[in-house]
Amino acid sequence: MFSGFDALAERFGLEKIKTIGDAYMAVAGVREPREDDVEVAAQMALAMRDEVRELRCPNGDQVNVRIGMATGPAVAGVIG
Amino acid sequence: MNTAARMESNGIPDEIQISDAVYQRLGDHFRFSEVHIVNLKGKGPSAARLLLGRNGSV
Repeated sequence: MFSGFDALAERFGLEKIKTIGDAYMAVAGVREPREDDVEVAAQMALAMRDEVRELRCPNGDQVNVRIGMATGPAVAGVIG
Repeated sequence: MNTAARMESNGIPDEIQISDAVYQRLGDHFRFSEVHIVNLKGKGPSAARLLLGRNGSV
């Protein structure tokens, strides 16, 4: 599932930050600021939701996903 | 990024929960739910919506 998300991140121009267990984190407009950062993130979120809808577990169960989005200034640094 | 994580952990399965700032930026090309309040740990009550889909063809 995450490799599918990697492909979506590449398609929509987001940057994958990391995966934490069963969570996937990506950002838009960090490497290169872009006017449509929120829009492309929304496109990716919708694509992720649509992709997961089609997935099934080996036993036939559906896969559920929760997605959260926020926007604002980001500060980065290296600590330690 | 923390707000996004809180939006997710307070979210609903198979839905995309967005902050008010995201809603303000997205505009007419997308469809949204009505605003609701979520209680975000460390931030308190915050306005949120669900991103439902695109509007027409984008």
